[in-house]
Amino acid sequence: MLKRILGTVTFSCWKITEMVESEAVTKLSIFDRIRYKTHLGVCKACRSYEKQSALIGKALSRLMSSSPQGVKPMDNLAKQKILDRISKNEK
Amino acid sequence: MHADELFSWAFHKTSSKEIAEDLVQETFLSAVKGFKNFKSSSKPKTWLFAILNNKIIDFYRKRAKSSAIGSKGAEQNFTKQTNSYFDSNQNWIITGNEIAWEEEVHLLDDSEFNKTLDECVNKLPDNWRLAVVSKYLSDKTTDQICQEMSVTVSNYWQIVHRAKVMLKKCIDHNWQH
Ligand SMILES: [Zn+2]
Repeated sequence: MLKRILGTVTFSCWKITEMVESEAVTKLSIFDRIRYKTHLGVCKACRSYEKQSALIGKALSRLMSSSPQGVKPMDNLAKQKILDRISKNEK
Repeated sequence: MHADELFSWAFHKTSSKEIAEDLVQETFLSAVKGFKNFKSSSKPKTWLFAILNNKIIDFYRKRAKSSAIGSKGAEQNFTKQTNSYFDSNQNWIITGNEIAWEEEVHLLDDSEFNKTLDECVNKLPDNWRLAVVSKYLSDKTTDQICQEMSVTVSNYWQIVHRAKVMLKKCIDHNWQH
């Protein structure tokens, strides 16, 4: 019940999770910003999501920029092919 | 020459030996061509990885395009699934399975957590993965990414949004700590 009232007075959880993602939050009008903050104030699930979303973002950036543990060597043949291509290109 | 490291990385991201070898080859060829642009302020390894990462995104993009018809079904299923986490008022359905994992800063260094996240990313439909990966992997602007994916900006944010909700739920379900 409380949630339903919230949905009309503030935003729905879906809308909030969308806004968390899209940086739209920074462009909100003061009125909408209050609605947004109010929702987060009373909705534990969205508060949690906001932090988790940021954490996933950070973890992804890291995951994507770090090399994997345990290096898998490349075939020597494949390496030789690369060297051949490079020396051909330089001529 | 970092070839092994580059190859491991490409293999990890594409799960194919042949594709990984091709990507590493293209990376070195681009590197040789672009050597003039190489700023000595950055480490060669960092520079090579940046090139490789762009090649990997290109690969994802091509694959997303070629499987566009086939993945429509997968995308629809995932869309339905993300919807199912919300009730008719579009509020979270609380299942009690939610685990608190938002506070823990050390999660970033937790290899199990990172492994789970990686697996969850790989489960996403091609297009969703492409959107998320491009957002965090490349230094491209949103407009550039949208252009390459041939989607509108609002469409792109919708995909990122759904993908992130999916990742959150996937971690909720699969991460044992
Ligand atoms: Zn909420």
